[in-house]
Amino acid sequence: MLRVKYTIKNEEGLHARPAADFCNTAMRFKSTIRVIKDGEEFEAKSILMVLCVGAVQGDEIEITADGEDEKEAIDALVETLDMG
Amino acid sequence: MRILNGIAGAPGVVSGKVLYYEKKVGSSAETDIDTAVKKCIDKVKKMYNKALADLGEDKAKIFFAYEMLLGDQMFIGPIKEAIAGGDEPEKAVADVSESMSGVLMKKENEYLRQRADDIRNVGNMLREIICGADDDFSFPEGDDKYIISAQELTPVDTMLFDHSRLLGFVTKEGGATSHTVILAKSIGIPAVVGVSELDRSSDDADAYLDGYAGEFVINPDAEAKSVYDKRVLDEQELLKSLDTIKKNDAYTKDGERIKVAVNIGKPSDLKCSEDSKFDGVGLFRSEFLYSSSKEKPPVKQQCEAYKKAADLVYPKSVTIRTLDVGGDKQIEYFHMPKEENPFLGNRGIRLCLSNEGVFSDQLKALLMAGYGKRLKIMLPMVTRIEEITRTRELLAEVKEELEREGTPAADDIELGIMIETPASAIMSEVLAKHCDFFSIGTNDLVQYIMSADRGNSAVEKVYNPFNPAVLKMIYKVIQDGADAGIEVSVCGDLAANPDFTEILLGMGLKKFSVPLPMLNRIKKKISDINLSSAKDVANEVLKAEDEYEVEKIIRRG
Repeated sequence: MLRVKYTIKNEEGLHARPAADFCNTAMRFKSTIRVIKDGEEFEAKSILMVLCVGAVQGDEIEITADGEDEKEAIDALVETLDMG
Repeated sequence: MRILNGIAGAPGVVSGKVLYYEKKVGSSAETDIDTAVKKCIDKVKKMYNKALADLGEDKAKIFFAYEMLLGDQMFIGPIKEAIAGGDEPEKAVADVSESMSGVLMKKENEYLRQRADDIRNVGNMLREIICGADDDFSFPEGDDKYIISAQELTPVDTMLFDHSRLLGFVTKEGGATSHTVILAKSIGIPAVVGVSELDRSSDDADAYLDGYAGEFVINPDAEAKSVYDKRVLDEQELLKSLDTIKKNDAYTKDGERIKVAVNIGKPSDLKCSEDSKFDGVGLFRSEFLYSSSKEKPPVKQQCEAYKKAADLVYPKSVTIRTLDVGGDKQIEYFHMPKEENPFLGNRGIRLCLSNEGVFSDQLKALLMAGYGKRLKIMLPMVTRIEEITRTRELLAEVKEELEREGTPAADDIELGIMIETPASAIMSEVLAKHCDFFSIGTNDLVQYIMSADRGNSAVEKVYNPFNPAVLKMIYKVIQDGADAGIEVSVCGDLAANPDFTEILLGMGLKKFSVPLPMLNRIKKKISDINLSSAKDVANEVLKAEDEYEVEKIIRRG
């Protein structure tokens, strides 16, 4: 399993559009992917759960991926967040 | 006549008939949840394509998010479970979407709370399909245009309307960042939202909708008609010449160049400026960096935000106001005891200087961001020279620190002050020797000069910017600044109030800083004014004995 820490840069946080992009990216991979914030875990392949993370600018989140394509998944998700 | 107040969402002033929009319940109820979801997805897909064609990819993406939500087992799963457990489908959808959006409603961030609306919107659409709501909305026959009034408009509703027949939107629910507002702006019509008293009695009434003032006037009387007809006319004039106004700098009718800058709360606000020309940012409130997180914002993060704004307006300048909070607004990492009288307490520059660590971080970020850019620093709530000199000392310390680290920093950064306390206005002649520019913050200045809380309706009459005490003070500051050869601007409400443009110009003001939606309106107003006659009006106003006399001179036009 791989994990990476990420600080949200988007000033409006992980809101509807970036959340949709993030979740859409997660769905491309077979790995089990989760977002962790303040100790709470959220399913990354559900847009609802990603919205419920409620991450705002400056928040630190952790992304974990577990599966055959975990490396690619983490890279792609970080890239999606960077572009948000 | 009724005047209903709400939040000024999208700019514009219109008059016309009101059409109260509500969903009608039809007969083709769909009780099978899978079919309902499928129908709903089809509908959202259609909306996506329509929005893509009408409004572009950025605006259309929200429907893509809706589609994902409808395919989300975390959303649909619990609904199905509730139905399997014996709930009516409509109730199941309502309960699940309410509880899911409830989670987001609890978040501190306003933007995320608005996203709770997205979940509720999708829930409502699904419920409408389950109940067989009829969404084949069409306008009455003819080509008349309407002001649409409604409890709430979802992005889906707004997509149903034929844009060519819309005058504006007014809704009971919604905030300044709701989709109704975003769509109204992209269509170019006014929107007033959050009108708590709005109901269906407005249907078919004659009305005015003022998207600048956030007013919805139903069945206006003759007096109101004359006031609002003028606003509508001004707006039409503005629209006619908007393309020219937008593309050009502001000049008075007799050719004097006047600067018009904008006020922003975060760098992305500048996105809405589209292709309008303006003279940089006259006021960038830095509070958003502090209030959106629980810890003090890291220097790097601050620096990025300042730099972004500076980049966007370069080679024009951006003026960043240092943190301006006080005892009425708590920030966790500041030592802020409860105060008896927060507006006369430890706020603005005072609070910053009693938390020098936090303040130095901000100054550091500003110096870093200002490197190679045009960035100015502005201090709020200044009353004494010491506050400027201490800030200069801190700036020098921070600069030295950056040099030691080898981090590039701005040289000779301009340091100015807000004039918003009587002390600073009275002493402006002296203060001008200690700083590089003044910006008059009229909201606080009026409040302090008149000793009247602007939010207290009992002293509403006292809080009146037309009062000669206020105008004389403003005139003195403009003159003292000019004599000292430093730039003076006005960045408070008065700068954006077209009733004051002529007086301010006549007093010798050369720079206005206004909220973005008011930018072109003020530029237009300036272009209609002759500086020589403005001076006469200003002289007359400065001789007035009370606010009524001032108002009379102004209304005379």
